[in-house]
Amino acid sequence: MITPETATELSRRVRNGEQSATEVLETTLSAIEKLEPSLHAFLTVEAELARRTASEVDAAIGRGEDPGPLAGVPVALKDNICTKGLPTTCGSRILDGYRPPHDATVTTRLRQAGAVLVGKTNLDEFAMGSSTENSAFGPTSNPWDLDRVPGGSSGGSAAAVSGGLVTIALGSDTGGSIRQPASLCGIVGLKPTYGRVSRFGLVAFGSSLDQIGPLTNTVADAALALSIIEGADPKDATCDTRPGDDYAAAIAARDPGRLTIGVPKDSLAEGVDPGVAAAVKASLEALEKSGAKLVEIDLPIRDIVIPTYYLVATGEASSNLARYDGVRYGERAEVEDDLQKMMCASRGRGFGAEVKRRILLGTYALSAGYADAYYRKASAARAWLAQHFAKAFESVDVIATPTSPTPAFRRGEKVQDPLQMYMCDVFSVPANLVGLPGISVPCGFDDGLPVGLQLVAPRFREATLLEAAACAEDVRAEPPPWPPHHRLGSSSEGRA
Amino acid sequence: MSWESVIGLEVHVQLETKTKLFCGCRTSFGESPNSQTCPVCSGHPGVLPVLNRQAVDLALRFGLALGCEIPEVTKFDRKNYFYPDLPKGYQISQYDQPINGRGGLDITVDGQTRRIGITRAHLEEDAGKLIHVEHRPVSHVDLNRAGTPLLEIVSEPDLRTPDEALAYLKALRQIVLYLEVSDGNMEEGSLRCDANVSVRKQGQETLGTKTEIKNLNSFKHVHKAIEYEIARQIRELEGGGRIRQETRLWNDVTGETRVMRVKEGADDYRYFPEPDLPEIRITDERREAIRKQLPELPAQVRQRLIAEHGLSEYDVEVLTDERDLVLYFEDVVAGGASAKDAANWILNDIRRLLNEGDDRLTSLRIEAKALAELIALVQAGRVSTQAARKAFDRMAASGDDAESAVKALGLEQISDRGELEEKVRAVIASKPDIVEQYRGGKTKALDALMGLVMRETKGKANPGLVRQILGELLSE
Amino acid sequence: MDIDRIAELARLDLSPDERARYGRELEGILAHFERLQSLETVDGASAFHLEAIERDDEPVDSPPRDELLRGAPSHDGEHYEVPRVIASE
Ligand SMILES: [Mg+2]
Ligand SMILES: [Zn+2]
Repeated sequence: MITPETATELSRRVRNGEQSATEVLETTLSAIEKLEPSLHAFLTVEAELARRTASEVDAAIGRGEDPGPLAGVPVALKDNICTKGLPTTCGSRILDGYRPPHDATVTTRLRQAGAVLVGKTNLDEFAMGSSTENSAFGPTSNPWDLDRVPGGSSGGSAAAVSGGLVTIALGSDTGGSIRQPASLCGIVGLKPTYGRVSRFGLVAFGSSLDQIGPLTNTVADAALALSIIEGADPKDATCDTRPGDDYAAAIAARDPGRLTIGVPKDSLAEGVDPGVAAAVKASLEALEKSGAKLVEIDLPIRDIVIPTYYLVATGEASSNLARYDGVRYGERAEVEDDLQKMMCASRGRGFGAEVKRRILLGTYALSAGYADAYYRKASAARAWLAQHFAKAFESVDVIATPTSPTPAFRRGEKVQDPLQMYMCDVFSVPANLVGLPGISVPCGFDDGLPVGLQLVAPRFREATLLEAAACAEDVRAEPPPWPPHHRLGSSSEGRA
Repeated sequence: MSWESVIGLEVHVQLETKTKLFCGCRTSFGESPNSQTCPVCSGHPGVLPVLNRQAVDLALRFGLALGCEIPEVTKFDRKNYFYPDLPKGYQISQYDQPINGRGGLDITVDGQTRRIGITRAHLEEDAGKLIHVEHRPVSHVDLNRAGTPLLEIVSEPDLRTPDEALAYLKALRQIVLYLEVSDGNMEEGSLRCDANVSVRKQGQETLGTKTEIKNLNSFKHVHKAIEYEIARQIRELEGGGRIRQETRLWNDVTGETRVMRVKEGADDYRYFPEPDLPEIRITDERREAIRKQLPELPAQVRQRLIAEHGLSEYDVEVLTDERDLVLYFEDVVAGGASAKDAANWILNDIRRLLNEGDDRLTSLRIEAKALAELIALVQAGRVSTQAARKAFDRMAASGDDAESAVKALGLEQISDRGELEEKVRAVIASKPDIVEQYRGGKTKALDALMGLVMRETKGKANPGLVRQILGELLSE
Repeated sequence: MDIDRIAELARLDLSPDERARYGRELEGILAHFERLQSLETVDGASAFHLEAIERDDEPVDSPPRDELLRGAPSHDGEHYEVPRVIASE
């Protein structure tokens, strides 16, 4: 039996006893064995632990119990999500060998839902980057073209799903780190509303921006994963207490006819790769044809989102990364004579180039004499942005843009020019700055490389967002082929 | 040329909560190193702070008692600096929207009462402890204290003398004890004091350059260190030198302050709002509920005791020194004793016991009710005041009630008129010469007869009654 | 931009090459970010509201000390061990 490509179908089969969790897992493990040498999506694979979990799931089913809505579904976690007793490195040398004494709340919730954790995925160090090239443990390749990046920072999670290794991988999104790699790998990536999912156990990068979310093959799977990881958490004071909505029902009842989609005037113009613009445009036209209403909107934010984002994110990061000092855990540089020297050396050697660049930028943005012009100005600019979005949402349900201005680029192409790399985030960072939910849905191809359509909705309107995303999924010209480096090989067989 | 000193105090008070400010670890003192820590208070990756409601309530209780301005919204900020006892590389504190704004505290020095301004009193977490290891070039870190809730109380530079600084600190400690927001224990570090000291010429408006003195962990040190620092600054200035803005450490052994750190520019703590903790809205309901539960403060208690019981200012001052002593006093009065008697016993005998013992009312073995009984026995004439003291000592040692202590020591007075009359008659009959002297106008002779009766009764006779009977029988 | 001062504040050892490179790059990035200054904003305004939660003052047992200490680069079974603090503070 061919193992299906959606978590929804997998768990249905496992719960019905049609396929065992162990059988599903073995498919995953052999796929990992086959593809990992070329993809390097994982930093750790916990095969033995996964086998134990899978047989527990099977045993539960044997006893007539329901292991939960993700029964027997292999899942992968970005390696900045804490797993008790298992390596959690954040792709950084400074946390090489670190095993947290605690589980992230999402880790616990996935386990309680019957999921089988197979491993931890690669990422840009401390989630800082858009290509996964900033991992201290080597880059991840894009299953569509091994010479290209999978995007980032959740590049390992995106490649793991895109390559057919798992059907659900969690990532984290501070400025697009779920949506952009989803776009570049041709899969679905959902960043929930800030406060929808507990951040407890997510290693902080920009605390007021970070949010955990799923990378999946389908919108329905993203909805399923969200319904499991979301909700109030007494360990996270920024996590909202309201219950989630019935996303599956919202998707089932989807109707493009009642959807008004706002398209910012400048979103398909300057700075966007023509192939990307064409794919997004085609997708929007198809949505219109299916009954959705397209409205051109004025959202004059483009010039300021990158400075705003990078000042806030790096300011917070400079503080969040202060705890890596070589005292209580992680790597310590062997400088025996003086404490301060030990700290400086541990940090100087333990952090990679991009992390150091951002710590310096953030320290500067918060430093005496500059904080007003930089960090505080940028914080106030977020409120300004929120007002613009609030105004736009008076007349539209969702706002559509490309997720990324370019498709997957070649490894090494941008890594030397930080500002150019930062500019790639222009479409994705506003959702983080304003705390909005956003999703990237595959919408076509640019010269053989996948292109993602980004949709953004008002806070806590994931039901609307997922409904709109499912409509976008419906109108794709034809089921896209698997990428060349997929578990099932390159085939044009439709996705389940 | 005369100098004026200007002093402001920064006092850190540990709030009396069961758990830390942002995690569920216990705050008990003196536990094994690092045994009261968790991923949150040891700053592990991915953890988040969750605010302790009780710490907020205690901070508000303090602020309301001192008439502080309470904002509608308060928030936390990160104070960023590196130190091995600071697990996250930042301290969660409050910067520009403290939970308590301006308030004030009255102090009395040499009979003069003055209001000292409180600038602010904000919530923050404590750091851990760095222990220097002997004979090896290493230090040890213990994080048990890390994350303990503190209230940092900053005074205006309103204090002018070491005596005033001491009075302020004592008044502050007294208030936190009355409010039960802290145990105020300076030895255990529950109350720590830093002093900002500067001097200026009398009449000068602007402030002189100040130094900050740390490590003032007893009342005695506070007074001595400030006194020393004022003298040092004056000596420096009069010698043509200048004062540098610096942090100085009090060394109790040498009796000096010495430079710990020169403040080049200012420290750059890069404060910014703590993104992990949403702003706290302090509702009217919450504020008023806490206000309603405020206990009586020392000044109010003093006024009331004077008005209700007619006690002297001095007695009341001493009685209200500690809240427990007042509560004890009120219990003794409630047990039936007169206020004057209760105050006398407490101010003399109870305080003597406390001074001899470990200073804690809680370990006292004489319950208020028992003391009230003892006072009643004296009142009823069943024991003499002197005998009652003996009974008191026994009660303190054994925990006996008054009745059993008196019985056990056989201290009960003879107040039976018939029995005493018999003894008095016998003495009169046996000493006609003394009787004669008395009748001849020598009133002192009565004392000699009294003494004889007391000796006959081994001191147990009720002296008032004996005197009365003697008077009656001799005038027959 | 005083890269030495910033590196010291951030406790980052940087090689001379790194100092030169980061100094140059950050100047460029900040020059681009200048455009933010002309935006009219309201100080202290926030993008969205979060409802605060507070925790009951109920103790939770701390994990065994060893669980936290064992990952430390250096410890004596009871304490984290660090090189002695030389710079006075
Ligand atoms: Mg402080
Ligand atoms: Zn703790």
